[in-house]
Formats: sequence, C-alpha cells, structure tokens
Amino acid sequence: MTIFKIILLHFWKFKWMIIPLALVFFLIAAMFSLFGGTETFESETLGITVVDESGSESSEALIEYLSSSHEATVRDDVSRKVLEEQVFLMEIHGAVIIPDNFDTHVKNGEPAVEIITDERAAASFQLETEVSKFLMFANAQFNDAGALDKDTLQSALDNKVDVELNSDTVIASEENFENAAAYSNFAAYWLMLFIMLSVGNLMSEYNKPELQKRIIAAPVSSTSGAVQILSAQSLVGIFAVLVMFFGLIGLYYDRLEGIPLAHIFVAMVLIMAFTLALQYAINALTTNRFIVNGIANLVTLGLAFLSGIFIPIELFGDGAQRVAEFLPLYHYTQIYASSDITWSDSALSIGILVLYTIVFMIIGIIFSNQRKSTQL
Amino acid sequence: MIAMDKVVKRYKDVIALDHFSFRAGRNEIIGLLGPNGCGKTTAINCMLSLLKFDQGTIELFGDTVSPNNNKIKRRIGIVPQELAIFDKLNVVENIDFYCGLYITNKAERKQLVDEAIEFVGLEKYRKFVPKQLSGGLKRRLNIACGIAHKPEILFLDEPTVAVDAQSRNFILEGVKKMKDRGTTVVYTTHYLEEAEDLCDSFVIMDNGRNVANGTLDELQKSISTTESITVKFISGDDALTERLKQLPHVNQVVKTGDRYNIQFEKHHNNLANLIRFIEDHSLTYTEIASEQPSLSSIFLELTGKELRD
Repeated sequence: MTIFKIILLHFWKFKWMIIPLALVFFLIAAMFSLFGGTETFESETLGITVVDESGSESSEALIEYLSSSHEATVRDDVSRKVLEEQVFLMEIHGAVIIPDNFDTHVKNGEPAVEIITDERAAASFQLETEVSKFLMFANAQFNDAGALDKDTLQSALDNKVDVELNSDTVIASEENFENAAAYSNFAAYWLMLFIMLSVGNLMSEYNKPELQKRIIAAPVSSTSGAVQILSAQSLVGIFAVLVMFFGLIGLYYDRLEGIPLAHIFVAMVLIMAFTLALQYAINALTTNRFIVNGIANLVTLGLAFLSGIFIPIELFGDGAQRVAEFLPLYHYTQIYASSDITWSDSALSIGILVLYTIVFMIIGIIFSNQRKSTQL
Repeated sequence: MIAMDKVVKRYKDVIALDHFSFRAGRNEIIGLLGPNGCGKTTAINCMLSLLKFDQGTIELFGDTVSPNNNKIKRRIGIVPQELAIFDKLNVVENIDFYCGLYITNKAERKQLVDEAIEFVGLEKYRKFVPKQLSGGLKRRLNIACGIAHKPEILFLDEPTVAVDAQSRNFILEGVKKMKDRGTTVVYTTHYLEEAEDLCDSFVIMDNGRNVANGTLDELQKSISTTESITVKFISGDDALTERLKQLPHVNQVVKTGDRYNIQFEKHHNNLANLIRFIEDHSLTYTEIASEQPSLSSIFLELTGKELRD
C-alpha cells in the first residue's frame, strides 16, 4: 500500500491549489444560485421608423398599433441603408418596412414586413413579437371576415388575460432543473480541470525515469503498483465528485424537485473516470510538467466550449453542433438532459462515455508500455 | 554474492556489454571503473533486472535475476547517479516511501528510517523538502533512500558527483560503514583516487569488456609498468642525468627542477642499487621515494585512456 499512500499524500500536498479552486467554484455557484434563475423582462417604449410602401388600410392599422405604445415615425424619404445605420448607431430601436403587396402577404400568412433591428438588444425581440402578434391577428381577421375590420382587430390586440404563476408547478421544477444543469455543466469543467492538474502534476513527477528506476528495482510487481495508483486516483476522483454532488444538494436543498440527481451523480462519476483515463494517456506520452499543465488547460477549456458547457450549444452553427455530438462532455450533459429523463434516454450517452474511457485507457497502456521499453 | 558471466547487451548495432564477466564476494567494496559509455550503468541495470540482456547469466545470492524475482530484489539497494527523490515530499517522507517498498511493518520501517537519517547525518533536516537542501545534502538523502532497508548488496552509481568536499568525505565514510555492517557495495566512479582509497577490488571496463579486475596489488603486478623512483638532490646537473642513465635496468630519467624521476625495469632491487650509486658518488639528497603504479596509471596502461570527470 506504499504507492497508494504516497499518491494520496501527494494530493494532500496540492491542497493549496485545490482548496482555492474549489472555493472559487462554490462562490460562483452560490452567486448563481442566489441571484440567477429569476430573469424578468419589461416591455419599453421603442423609437421606431416605419416606411409604408403599401398605403393600405391594413398597413395603417399596423402603424396605428405600433404608435399606440411606441414612438413610431412614418417616413418615405429614407433608404434601407440609412435605416440600418440608424439602428446600428442606436438612434432608433428598429425600423419596419411595409412592402406594397402587404395585404396579400398578410392574407396568405407569409412574411409580410421587413424588420431592421439590432439582434443583440432586447428591443429587437420586443418589436418582432409585437409585429408578429399583429400579423397573426390580421391574418385571422382576413380569413374570418374576408376583409380587415380595424376596430375588431384593435380590440382583439388590446385584449388581455390575467395569468397566475404557481411556483409549485412544473415551471418551478423546470427552473430548478435549469439551475442544477448549469451547475452540473460547470462542475464537469471543474472536475476535469482539478483531476488533470492534480493527477497530471503528480504523475509527471512519479513517472520520472530516475524515480521509476528505483521503484522498478524494488520488490513490488508492476500490476500491484498500477492497481495502487489507480485506486488512489479513483479515491481522490470520487471524493471530488462527492464534493461537487453534495455541493449541488447543499446549494439547492430547498429546490430539489425536477433535478435528476441520480443521473447527475452517474454523469459526474463517468466524467471523472474519463478524465483519469485521458490523463493516464497524456502522462504516458510526457512527464514534462509544463506540457501536462498546458494540455490540461487546452483540453478542458476546449472541450467545455465545444460541448456547450459555457455557451448554450443551440447558439452554435450546424457544423459545430455536429462536432459537439462526438465529444465526451456533450454526452455528459446529455445524461441529465431534461428533468424527467429516464435511464433508457441516457443509456446511449452513458455508453459513449464508458467507451471513451476504455479507449483512452487502452491508448495509455500502449504508450506506457512503449515508454517503459525505450526507457529501460 | 554477485556473478556475471559472459553477459552481452546490444542496443541495435551498439554492443554495450561484450561478454562481460565479474564476481564479487560478501562484504567487500568493488569499484566498477571505466570511461563514459563503457557500460558501467548498463551492467548495473542488468544486475538490477532493469534491462534485459541478450546473452549470459547473472546470479545474485546464487539465484538467477529476473524482473519478477522479488526474493533477490528485497535484498538489494540502488543509489542512482541522478537524484531519485520526490520534490514535494520532505526528507522523512522520501525515505519512508522507498523503505516502504521493501518493509511493510510500520514500526520496523520507522526505526529503519530514523537509522538511515542518522547514518547520512540529516537529523536537522527531517522536515525539509529537497529544494531546501544543498546539493550535498540532496545526495545524502538520495543515499538514505537507497540504504534505509539495509540491503545486502548496494549499487552506488557515482554518488559523489558534484558534491562539496565535506559531503564527499561524509559519503565515503558512510560507504565504509556500510561495508563494516556487512554490505557488499558495487561502486562506480570517475574519481580514481577516491576509488583507490575506498575499494577492496576493482573491475576496469572499456568498450563493454572487463579489461582487468582484482585488488590494487594484483592489478599493479599484472601490468608491465616500470618501477618509478624519484630523488630530490641538493645539487644536480645534466651530467648527473647521464650518470643515472648508466645504472643497470634504467629505462628513462626525467629531470624536473632538482627532482630526478628514474624509471627502472621491475623486479631488480632497483632502490638498493640507486642508494649504492648515491653513496658511491657522495651525492646528497633530501628525498627519495619508490612509487608503485597508481590506479590512474594502471587505468591508462590498460585502456589507453585517462579517466576524467
């Protein structure tokens, strides 16, 4: 058990690297837990320029509708390019260009106006929502009565419904799930970084040829040595997983409904096993501490970005999304992809992560044997 | 204790050990000497089962060595030339780890670790990590890690390279103490004076071969080097040089200042003849010394090379 103990002792020596790393993580998670999850949106009065090329009754109804809650200016002496520039310079929130065949498009339910907005601003979403609400109602009016009745349309647009939000219902569960998923996503990044840095640095020292010479000359079989190393690393990995898992429970103890805890735990264990296998392969290739640290940061950050840990994967292009489906961290997130996920839904991703772990173990064993044969 | 018989080790086209043989008995210090790349470390690695060899046999304690022969491994120790210590562990932890690879009993190990620390004089530095130790102290720690389990055969690979004089003396005294407590030491070094002072017998290696082996006396007798006598005369001149050359069995006379180095053929009562010559010519001298060939000159004669750092 000497090797087992020395590996654990080495981890303990890294405590001044590990403890701040864990504290930063939990600080961020706690802040997210306290301040996140209750996003509000308030509509505001927008400055809009409308170019009416149609001059029809329905286009006037649209202008009237927009003017009722915003500062809408109708102009016909302005080019598309100027409007784009005004939006870009934030002189106006947006512009609506109504084409001359506006009525036909509305009747057919086709895209009927061109909206110029700055997509980065919340006003963009507000203007698009309001215009599409008008077009939907106008289309219904045309279909129902064959012609547009401005008054009926206006009263339909002004109708409001009282909605009562119940925090104990599905919405609360979904919010809990979203928060826990965000925590678990970031926990995977932390676990990978922690294991790759600590195990990487430790093993790069342990695998130094001069130390290995002494260890191999000692009466300890290579199998026993490997088992002791693996056991010690797994123990530390499980400890890190438990810290992350119970950290999640601690932060969300009063909001656990809708969180697939068992799936998250399995996912954390699997990503820990995968990272150990990956690090084993890296350490079999090099004992240079700088290279090991460089690879650790490169791999964890790269995988985390590409797998949607930091940025929702839906924002990626099709190509990047397709690439992400081949990455282990993506499958980690898919193990707890929804609040009501079943084990059969997760089975594929679990299997892929297990396969990844086995593949990197085999690569590590091959490189490790090669290195020993050239070293000795 | 150690028996290497016609061992051949090849690295592709390079022959590192060429039918290398040597034997060592219990409780002696054997100096394994040779220039860089002569195969010293390869020979040690083969004995430690760290390397597979192509031909020949190696026996330690009468048993054939193999990577899985833990019975043999348990009884040997190694102090490699490079510092084989963990940077993050302190003195006690480093020694305890290596000792733990041999000794599982915790109480026994603790006692052995304490003894090893005392043996190398690191009592004041028990909690120091290697980066806090000087080069010489690191070397001592490196040695302590190899001897804590009290091996019966110890391989010391250039343990005094790049250490200060004080630590070097400490290490050499330690090696002698190891011998006194019954350990067979295989010692490789570049420093021939150090080896001459320390070792009971020598194996001189060159190009992977055992060029000569034996005690210093045996080696001196085995080579054809002349007997060298140096005399410091009060007054001397070139004529004296010529007269000295007339002495029987003289090969060469070299005058350096007032010192005359006279090279005789061996085994001819040369010193007595020289003293008689001095008396007959009423010459006055302040020093006279007959020198046996040193390990350095033996090495030079056998390998045609000088052994340098």
